[in-house]
Amino acid sequence: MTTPTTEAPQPRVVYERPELLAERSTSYCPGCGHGVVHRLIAEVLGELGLGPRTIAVAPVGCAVFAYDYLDLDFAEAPHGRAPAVATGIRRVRPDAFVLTYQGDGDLAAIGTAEIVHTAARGERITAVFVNNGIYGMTGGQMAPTTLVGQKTTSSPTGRDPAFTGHPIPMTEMLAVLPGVAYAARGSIADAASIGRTRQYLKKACEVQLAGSGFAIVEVLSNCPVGWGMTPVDSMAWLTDHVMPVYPVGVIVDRTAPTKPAGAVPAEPATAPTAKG
Amino acid sequence: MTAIEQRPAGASTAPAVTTPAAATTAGAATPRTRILRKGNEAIAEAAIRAGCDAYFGYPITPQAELLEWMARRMPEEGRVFVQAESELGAINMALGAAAAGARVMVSSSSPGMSLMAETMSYMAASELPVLVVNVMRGGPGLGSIGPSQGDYFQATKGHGHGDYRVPVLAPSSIGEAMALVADSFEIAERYRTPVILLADGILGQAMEPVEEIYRTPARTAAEWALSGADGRPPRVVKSLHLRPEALEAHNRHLRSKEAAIRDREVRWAGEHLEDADLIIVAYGTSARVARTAIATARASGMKAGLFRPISLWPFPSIQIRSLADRARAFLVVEMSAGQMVEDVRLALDGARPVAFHGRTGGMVPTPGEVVAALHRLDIRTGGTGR
Amino acid sequence: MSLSPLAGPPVSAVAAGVARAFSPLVIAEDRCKGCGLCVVACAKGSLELDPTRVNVLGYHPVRLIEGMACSSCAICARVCPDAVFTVFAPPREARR
Repeated sequence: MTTPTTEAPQPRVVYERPELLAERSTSYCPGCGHGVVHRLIAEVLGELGLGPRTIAVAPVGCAVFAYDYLDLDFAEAPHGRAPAVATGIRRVRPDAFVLTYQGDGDLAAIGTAEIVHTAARGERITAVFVNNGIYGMTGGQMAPTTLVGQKTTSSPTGRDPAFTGHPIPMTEMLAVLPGVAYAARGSIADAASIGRTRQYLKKACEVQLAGSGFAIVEVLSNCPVGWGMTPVDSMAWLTDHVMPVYPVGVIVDRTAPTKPAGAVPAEPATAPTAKG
Repeated sequence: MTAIEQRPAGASTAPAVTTPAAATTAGAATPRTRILRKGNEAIAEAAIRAGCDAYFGYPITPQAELLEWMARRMPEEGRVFVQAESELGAINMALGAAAAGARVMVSSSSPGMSLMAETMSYMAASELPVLVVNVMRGGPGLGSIGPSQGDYFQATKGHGHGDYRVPVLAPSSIGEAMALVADSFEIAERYRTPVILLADGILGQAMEPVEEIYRTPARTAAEWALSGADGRPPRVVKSLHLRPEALEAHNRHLRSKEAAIRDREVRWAGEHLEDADLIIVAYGTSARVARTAIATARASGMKAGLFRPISLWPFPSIQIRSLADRARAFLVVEMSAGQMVEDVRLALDGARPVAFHGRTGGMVPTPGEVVAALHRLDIRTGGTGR
Repeated sequence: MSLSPLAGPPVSAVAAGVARAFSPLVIAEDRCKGCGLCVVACAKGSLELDPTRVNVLGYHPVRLIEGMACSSCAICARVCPDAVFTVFAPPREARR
C-alpha cells in the first residue's frame, strides 16, 4: 500500500478486544452471558492495571474453563469452595488482587457456607457471581435461584415452591453482613445493563484496592440452551422475568459516606432545647 | 532462627525438667532441658518452628488444642491463622494458600478428615504441598472422642476419589511427632504432594517430656506457584484434564512420583528383631503398648520383637517380607477392627501366619491382652507356649 | 495480526470521501457463533448473519450489510459474548 505525500489520517479505535481476554473461541454456547462477563472483567482489570497482580479462582460449572479465556494466574477450586480458596490466597499474598468467579450452583448451593463466611470475615476479595438460574454445565437442572414456575430438567413441571422453596436472594442476604463493603447486582440483558454492570465490577475492584472489605457483584445472566430459548429471546426473558425477581442496582455500599436514604432534613418542630 | 534449638523458647511457660540421664552424660556439653508438653501443642509448635506460613483449622476433639496453640502463636510470629467455618473451609483455604506458594498446615480429627476428602484428591491431583494432621478418634460416624487408628484405610488408600496416594507418617511419641512435622513439610514440598501426619487421641492429648529440638526445612523455589502473571505467562493450578489421553498422561506422572516416594521415603523402626521369633507389627500408640507387652513376653522367655512402621504409605512391605525369613509368625496390633493387618498380609504374601489383635471405639489394647495374643499365636504356630 | 481496516481496501487522502473506502468494523468471523445479539442490538439494523457462509465453528457469521450505515457506536461489540468486533471510527478528516 503506498501512501500519498501527506500522511493518511488513521481510523480511531472505538472498541477492541481487551488484552487480558485470550484470543480464542470459548466453549460457551452461542449467546452465553459468561462471554460478556469475562470480557467485562478483562476490561476492568486492564483499565486498573491489575493483570500482573491478579490471582483468580475458577469455579466448577460452565466457567470451569475461565482460566483458558482470561490471561491471569488462576487456581481451580472444588465446587463451591472458591471463596475459601481465595481466602487462603489472600491471607498469604497480601499484595495480590484476588478475584473469584462463580455460578449460581457454585455460590448459592454447595458453596453457601464458604461465601457467607468469606463475606462475614470481610475478606478483601472481589467476588463475581454469575446468576443464570440454572445448572448449565450438567445439562440444565434447577438452581437455588431458578424462578418459581421455571421448567428445568429437575423441575420438569415448573419449580413449585411447596416442594423446593423460593429462589434465594444471595446478594441481599450477604449485604446484611458488616464485612461486606460493597454488593451490587447487574445484568447483561442489553448494552445499557452491560455498561452499568461494568461500573459495578469496577467499583467492586476499587473496593478491594482500598482495603475496605468484601465486594460482590451478582450478574444476572442467561442460559439459552438450558432455558430452551434463542439468545435474543433469553435476553428478553432476563429483562421481563428475572429482573423483577432480582432487582438490579447497588444493594449496599458501606464505602459511601452515610446518608439517610431519601431523607429531607426536617425543620425543628419545637424551639431548640438548651444544650447540656 | 537456627535449624536446631536445644533450649526451650522464651514464650514457653511449661516447667523445665532435667532428666537424671541427661545430667550424667552431659559432661562438658550444655545441659539439655526438657519441657512437659501436650502432643497437640508440641505438633503445633514444631510446625511453627518448621516455618509454617499459614494454618487453617476447625475445632474438633481431640485436637482442639492444636488449633488454639496456633491461634495464639501464629499471629505472634506474623503468620496466618484462620479458624474456618468448617473443615471444608479449612482444607480449601489450605489449597489456595498452597497454590500461592505458602508452607501450609491443616489439622483435624477423623470426621473432619472425611469432610476434607474431596479436596485431598484435588490437592494430590494439582500437586500441592500441604501438611494435614489427623488426630484419630473412635468411629465410624460421630463415634467417640477416644483414641483410635480407624483411619488407616482412609489415609493410606488415598482418602478421596481417584487414583492417588499421599505419604502418611505415623509417630508413636510426641518427640517423634515433632520431628516428623518438619519431615512432612519437606516431603510435601520435595514431591509436591499433600502429606498426612497420622496421630491418635492419646498422642494428641498426652503430655510427655520432650526436648525442644526443631528443624526448619529449606525452601525450594516453587516455579509453579501463583503470584500474579507479572512479566511471565499466566499459571494455572488445576486438576481438570478433560481429554482422556491428557488425564492418563497426568496419572502416569503421578504414578512415577509415587514410585519415587516408594523408593526413597519408607521409614520404620525395629526392636528386638535380631532374634525375634514372633514379630508384632504396630504403629503409633499401639506400638508403645506392644513394646511393654514384648518386654513382658521376653521376660518369660518368648522371643518377641517389634516392627514399627513409621511411614504407613509408602508401607515398608519389603522390610516386612524380609522378616519372614527369621520369624515364625506375625501379630498385628491396632486400635481398629483391622486395617493395617491387610497390608501386612499383602506384604507377607502368605509366607507366614498373621494374627490380629485390636480394640475399637476409643478403647486401647492393654499390654496384658497383647501378651495373651502373643501366647495364643505362639501355641497356634507350634511354639512351646511360654 | 492485522485488524486495521486499512488492511482491506486502501484509504488514501486522495480517496477520502469515496464510498466504501473505510470499514468501521473488523469482524473475527471464525469466533462468531451466530447468536444474533448484535443483529438485534444494532440501532441501525446494519448487521445480519450471512446465510451464504458457514464459519469453522459451523455458524453463519455476522457481517455488515452492504450499503448500510455504521456510526461506530460499538453497541455490537458491547453485547457480543465472543469479542468478535473491533470498532473503528473514521479518520477525523474523512468525517462528514
